Amino acid sequence: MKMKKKWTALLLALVMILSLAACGGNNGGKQNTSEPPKTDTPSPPDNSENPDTEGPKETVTLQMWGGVQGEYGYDALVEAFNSEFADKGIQVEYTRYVNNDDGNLQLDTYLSAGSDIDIFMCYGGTTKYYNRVDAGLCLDLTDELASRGFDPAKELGATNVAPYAIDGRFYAMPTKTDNKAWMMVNADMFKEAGIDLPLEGWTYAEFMDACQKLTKGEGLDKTYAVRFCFADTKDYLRAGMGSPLGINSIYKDGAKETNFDSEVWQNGIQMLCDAVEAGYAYGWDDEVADDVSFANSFLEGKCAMSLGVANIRVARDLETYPHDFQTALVPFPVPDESYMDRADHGIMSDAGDLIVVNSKTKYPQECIDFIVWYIQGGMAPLASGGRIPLWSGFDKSSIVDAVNEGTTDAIPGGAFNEDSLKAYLSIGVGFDEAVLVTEKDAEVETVFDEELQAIMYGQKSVEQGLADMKSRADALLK
Amino acid sequence: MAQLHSTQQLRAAGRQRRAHPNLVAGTFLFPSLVGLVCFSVVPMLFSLFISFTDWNFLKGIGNWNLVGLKNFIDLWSDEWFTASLVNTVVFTVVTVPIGLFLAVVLAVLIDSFCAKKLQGLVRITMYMPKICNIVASSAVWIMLYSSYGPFTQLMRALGWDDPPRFLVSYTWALPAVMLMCIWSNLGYQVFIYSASLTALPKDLYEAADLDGVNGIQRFFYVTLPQLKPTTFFLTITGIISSFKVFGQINVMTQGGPGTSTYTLVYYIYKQAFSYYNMGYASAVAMILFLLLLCVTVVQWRHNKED
Amino acid sequence: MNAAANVKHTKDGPMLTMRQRQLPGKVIMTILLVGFAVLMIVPFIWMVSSSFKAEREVMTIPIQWIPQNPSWDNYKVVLHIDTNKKDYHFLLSYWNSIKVSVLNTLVSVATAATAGYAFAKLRFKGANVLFLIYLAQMMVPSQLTLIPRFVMFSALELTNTHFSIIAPKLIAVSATFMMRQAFLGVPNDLRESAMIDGAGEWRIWGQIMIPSVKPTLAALATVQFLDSWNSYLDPLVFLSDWRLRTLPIALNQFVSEEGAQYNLITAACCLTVIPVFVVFLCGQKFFVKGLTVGAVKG
Repeated sequence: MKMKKKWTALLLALVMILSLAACGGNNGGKQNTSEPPKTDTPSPPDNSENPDTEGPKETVTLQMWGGVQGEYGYDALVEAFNSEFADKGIQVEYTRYVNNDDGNLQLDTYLSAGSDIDIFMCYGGTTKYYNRVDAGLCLDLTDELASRGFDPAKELGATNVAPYAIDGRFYAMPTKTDNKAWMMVNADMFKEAGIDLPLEGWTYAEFMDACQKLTKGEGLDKTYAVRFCFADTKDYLRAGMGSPLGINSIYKDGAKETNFDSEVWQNGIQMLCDAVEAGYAYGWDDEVADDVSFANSFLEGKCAMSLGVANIRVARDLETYPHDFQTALVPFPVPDESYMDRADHGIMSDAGDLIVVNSKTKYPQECIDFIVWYIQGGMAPLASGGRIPLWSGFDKSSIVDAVNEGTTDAIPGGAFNEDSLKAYLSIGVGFDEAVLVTEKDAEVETVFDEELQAIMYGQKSVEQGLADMKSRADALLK
Repeated sequence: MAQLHSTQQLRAAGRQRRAHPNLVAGTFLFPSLVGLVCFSVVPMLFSLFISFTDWNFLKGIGNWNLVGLKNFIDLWSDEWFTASLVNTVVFTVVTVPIGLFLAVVLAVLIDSFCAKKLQGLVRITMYMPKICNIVASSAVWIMLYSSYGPFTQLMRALGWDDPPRFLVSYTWALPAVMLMCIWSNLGYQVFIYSASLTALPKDLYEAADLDGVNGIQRFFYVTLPQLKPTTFFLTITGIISSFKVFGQINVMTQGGPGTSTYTLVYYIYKQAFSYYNMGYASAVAMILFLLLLCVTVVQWRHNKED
Repeated sequence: MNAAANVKHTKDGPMLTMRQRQLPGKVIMTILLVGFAVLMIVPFIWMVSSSFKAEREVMTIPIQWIPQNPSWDNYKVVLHIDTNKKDYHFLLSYWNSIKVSVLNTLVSVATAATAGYAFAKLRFKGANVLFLIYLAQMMVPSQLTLIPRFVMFSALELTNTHFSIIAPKLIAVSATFMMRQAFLGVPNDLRESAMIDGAGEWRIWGQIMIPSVKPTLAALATVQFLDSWNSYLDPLVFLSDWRLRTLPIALNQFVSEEGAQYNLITAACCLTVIPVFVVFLCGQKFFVKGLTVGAVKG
């Protein structure tokens, strides 16, 4: 009975404490609210602003959030920065967030709740960036950069930075470049099938021929020729299929109208359907139903080609994904000979990975110091993972060795075919035409995805799907 | 004197007790009331309020514009919303009756035919799916449904030459999710029916036996009518829980392909936490609330009749 | 199984007359029903069996129910033992799940036990109105209050704390009803005699009332624990920091990232499911009672 009494008392005390905490948490002022829960729950922004007192002057520790795992370059980058800036009183700490809906939600909550993130990477094209600027989460960098003698147009290329200027002000800087219209192929399979790497470009007809040679086997043992990456982002397909139309492959006429009535789109989507129909490529439903990813198809030798240059860092990570074949980069095919002059998809070279300073940061000066350092070569450790620095002063020839570093023992010649890497790196960066950007970008892309899905699932014919795509997207632009 | 003293004491004590009942009850109710106000009443009102605004979460608290009924009007021309609504209703109309029918048949069969020693075991076994967390059971069902998975193999063995890939088919994805939900709730429903069966009066059965009624007749004319209150209870809880279906969708299909498995709660989740359209999402939530309200009103009326 | 015995006991009467002629039918039916029950857990059997297989063996035709070369490798990968695969911190999520579930259970049972008592035994001003408000709360789906709760917690910088999913358990309406029903069943004379002895309400509650509703408390605790252990939407929204994640969320991430590695996924599923099965089988006596109390009383 005594025991029972004690138990009841204990229980009671617990309830009272918890309910009091709840009460304080909701009715009380902000200052003491976070005390009870935070004592036993580690939360990342907590450890940021401990004023370090060991140095002669106060050291500032910047919190940086990015979407790439630390081991794919950021750990090295942070270490380099910290040792270089130790005596200047700036240090940086890197936290990875997962760049998906949940991860971005987390980032946005932290940002809007006024937490201690100082710098973050913003992905997902202009849409997320515009939203975040609109919400006042991003610091205006224009004047501070200018005062440091950093001219974005000169350092990064005028056309590259143009889409990120809002009324002439920059709230972010693009840092890397890539070309989504290139794809990754299994060089060993190509050699075995007697196909030369089409580094100069190839046509849909040549591509289909190659597919036929590369497709083997049946059922669980089947080797597919290509994975179009349907289950993932459709950016790659948009870039690959749309590139013959130029940099503004989706919009025409000053973005008053979409381009989906062009035969380039029709040819492209028809080719996708043909490849799936012939069994060369995973269908959209295959990819979703069996969770076909780059790692479990291409790297397992179950398919010979895959879209998604972002996977360079994965393909060279032999420790996590052991494989013994060489990977090469080749351009996505073009509809026919008449487009061969654009077959390297140079215009699709795209700037991305926006680096942003939180508008609520306590250390804007230090953050901008870091950004400038990051852009002007500081991000080099990321290059081996395929994030090629956009900075004009960067020596790209070092990337080839960096990518293959540490892989030559396991794979003769390294994880990546050198010639193809050089071809990929040498394609022209940038474009002359102005990029058309609208507020409806994300919604237009959603329309594209939905109609493409309907076509690939056989719900609609190619013509019907494209017609619907055009009418729905045009309606959005009105 | 002593007498007087003790009555006085008693009276004083009594007065004390009578003076503080509200206070005493207050101490008992306090934690619960805090919860009620903070986590139910206030959120409810807030939700109602922001459903009339265009609020986007990124803009921060306070940066909203009242837009009147705009959200509620826009809903009806939003094909994602209408698809979600239709799917939710179809989901409910199919899973609830099928699940309940299976459950009552199984409960009666177990009760009347199963060897006594095995009855508990059979019920507990059937209950297992319900206690398994939704992510794990959904993950397992994804695998069962995959191209070479056991379920697909079973369908082939049963003579279906070319079974579709269930979860990625426009036609089959929703039925596939429904089947999984029926499976996971069946054990619970069997349990409740079994418990009610024990409470049924026996004289009706005796009378039926004397009349020479056969088993099937007895089931339809004696057992089922007797179980009406339980069926009613399970129908209501079933409707409510299938209106709220979320976990299975988020893990198994993410609403796809197209809009074929979008449900209301999943759509609320997407609108609110992927696109940050809190105002619009709250409007959808209010519609869900209205639907649940209708169901509950039916339940109350029914309870009053009894 | 206790409950099952009870079930049978009361039904013996009407069945007696038919018992003899039904024997062969009964045997067949029993076999069929047991077969059906097994069919219901085939997914779990398949899950356990696959978790011991190599990746290639999972999808063989026909299915191998007993793995040829059973190994613990998949479990090692999931728990990050001797592997260079990504660490999903399952053990940490385990701890988080246990912590959150225990606290949730304590909070909801305790508030339900106090509030339920007030509604059942105490007379106070506004009791009826308040009770109606409680009743009305039963209709409010937690999904409806999800957004405001999220906004509230994020304004207070309390998202990404376990507090944000524990505190809302203060209001557990159906649990309060269950406790109210249980207290109503306790005879009043016990309480009155204690009052004459001069005991205060809290003492009566602690010393007399709580001990007499112990079975319901246990039932409620089991239900609440399982509920919270399996809860998915709230932790998904409130806890994005991996250090705070509960098991279903960790499992969800595992499933979405390791997609087609069915052997690994089944191992991860087993790890999250098996302990609950064990708890359930141990506590099923209470559990069965808890379910029926909730259901039959409505």
